[in-house]
Amino acid sequence: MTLHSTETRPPEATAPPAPDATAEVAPAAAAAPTEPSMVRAGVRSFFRNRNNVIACAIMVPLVSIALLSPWLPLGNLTQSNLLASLAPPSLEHPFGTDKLGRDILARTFAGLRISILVGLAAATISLLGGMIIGTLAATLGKRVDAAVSSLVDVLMAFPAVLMAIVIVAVFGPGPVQLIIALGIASMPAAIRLQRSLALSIVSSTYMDAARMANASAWWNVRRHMLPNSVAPMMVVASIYAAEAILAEAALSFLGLGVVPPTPSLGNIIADGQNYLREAWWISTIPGLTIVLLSLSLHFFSDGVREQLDPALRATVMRARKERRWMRRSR
Amino acid sequence: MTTTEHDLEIELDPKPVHDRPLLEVMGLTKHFTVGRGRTRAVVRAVDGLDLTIRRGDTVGIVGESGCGKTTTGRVLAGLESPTGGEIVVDGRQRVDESTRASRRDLRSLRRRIQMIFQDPLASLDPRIPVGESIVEALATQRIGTPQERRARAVALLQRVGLSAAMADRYPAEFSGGQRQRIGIARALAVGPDLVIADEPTSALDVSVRAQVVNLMRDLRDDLGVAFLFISHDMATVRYLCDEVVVMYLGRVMERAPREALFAEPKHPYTQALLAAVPVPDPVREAQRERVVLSGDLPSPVAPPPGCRFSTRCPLATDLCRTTEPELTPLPGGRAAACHYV
Repeated sequence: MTLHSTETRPPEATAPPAPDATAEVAPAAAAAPTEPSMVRAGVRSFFRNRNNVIACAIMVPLVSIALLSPWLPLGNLTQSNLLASLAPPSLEHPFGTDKLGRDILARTFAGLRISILVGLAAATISLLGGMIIGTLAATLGKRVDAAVSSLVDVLMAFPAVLMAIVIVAVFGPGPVQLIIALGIASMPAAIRLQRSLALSIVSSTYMDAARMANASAWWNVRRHMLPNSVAPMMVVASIYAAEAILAEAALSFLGLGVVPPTPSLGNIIADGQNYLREAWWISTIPGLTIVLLSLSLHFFSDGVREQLDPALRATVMRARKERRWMRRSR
Repeated sequence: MTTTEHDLEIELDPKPVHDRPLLEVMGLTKHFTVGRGRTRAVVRAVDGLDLTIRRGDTVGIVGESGCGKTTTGRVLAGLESPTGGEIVVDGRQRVDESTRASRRDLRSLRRRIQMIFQDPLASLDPRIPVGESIVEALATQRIGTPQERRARAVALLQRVGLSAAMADRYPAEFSGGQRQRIGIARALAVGPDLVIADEPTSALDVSVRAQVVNLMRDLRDDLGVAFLFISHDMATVRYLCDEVVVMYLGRVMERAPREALFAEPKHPYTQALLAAVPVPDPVREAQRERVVLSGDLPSPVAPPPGCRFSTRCPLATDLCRTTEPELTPLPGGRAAACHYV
């Protein structure tokens, strides 16, 4: 499972050796932190994490291109120009053209927009659905839990892409259907994770403490359960987004996702596969874009995990301090 | 300054003194069912426990691991419901069915009985600044306005020896001893009559332990709060408690005022327990007579017939193996459950 591989990664391996004053217990720092400085400290510690920096370095250009692509002077995306058919990369067409003479750069940018939209929307759907249903399963008693868990087990038996194909087959191809299909396809895994997180929180000592405070069930969910499960859920959600982007490409490649002439990274690759010998650029450019995009999401997920977990953050700090000490003593 | 006002309020909150005991427990049982079908078994974690705590008293429960100390604490705190017996809080019997009335009962119970947990880090939500964790108890009980709650939380933090600025920090940023001080501050937030402390020092370093124990002692003397101190550390119990209850396999073996218990343990189990505490003087340590127990604690699934301690007792006779001794009052305000005292 993808989650597992990120969880087992040693935090020290990715931690930059910069010192961090925020985690050191210094009672002298008596001034109560004001709101803007806390935000600034949060931003600073976000960019101190190497994973976050890499993720941002890739993601910010890609996302801004995707957002701005309708306004960029890219020409007509679907207009064919047979005179420029299969033109290699040149100044006029930096990434060449396809069989119909359409500019690959322009089509990749437009496809990127759809890919990011599908990835984010699908991940959001599975995150929200997973958190709501998983929390309910863990808190509403044994019967609800048994029902939800067995349903999830049944759904988990299907590969996610196969489930998405079934949904697309029923509701027809298109970006909206794709979003719903991919969102639902990865929801069982999200439900299962949230359920196990919620169950471990229910039996934690700090929930006993909340019970001693006579907190209501809703209070406990809102105040303890959701905040404590959102970090791991965000970590997997960014991986779901990467998976959804890959699945969108795969389904569009198979003609089940975004239907031509609307460009998507998947259907551009599909277009190019017949011309791989003559025109390598058609499939390569969108392919590399997908790789970069999903890579940046994986970096982001690692970064978020290290960032949002105060205990883990403390561990990272301690490891850094120990390493510094070891270096000095050597 | 608002904080000093609240400080005063906390300190000058005299608990009314009645003769009526604060907490009376009669024949408390807590049985857990484990396994299903053929492997189904009943664990008798607490099996007929009597206990009385008067206002301002500190009662210690001691015993080895698995004797039911922690379960007793959790049941009395209302985190688990008992399977039998009576719990009377300030003359009022506690009901434990999950009806609306009992939920209201539980709410008022939680203003009177609070708990300090064994693992201070696990007992604090890692995502909530510690000040907020203290405020939580007040907020859910709808005590005061948000500003008053905050001020009280800060005052409590200062009372347990932390600074006001620490209220905005997260549990991971504190040391073990500091976290347990926060746990103590939280337990005291609602102004309880009784605080159940479940091995509050066992997760702490020895160097910090004394500070936390002294803090609890100061707070008890200042606020008149009663403590139920659950521990296996005889030295701490001796330092802190007025009365000591010795538990073995879910039952009380002996109950005595502190001085009497440590000076002259009556029950063979208590004698063995005290003998296990090392004496700091090597000469005396070498000379003293020790009762060493052999074997393990029998399973609470199937306690031995007769006296529970008979399987390990050096003095056990046939009577002990067949008839279970009752907890019998002895002169000096103490009681022991043994045929031969």
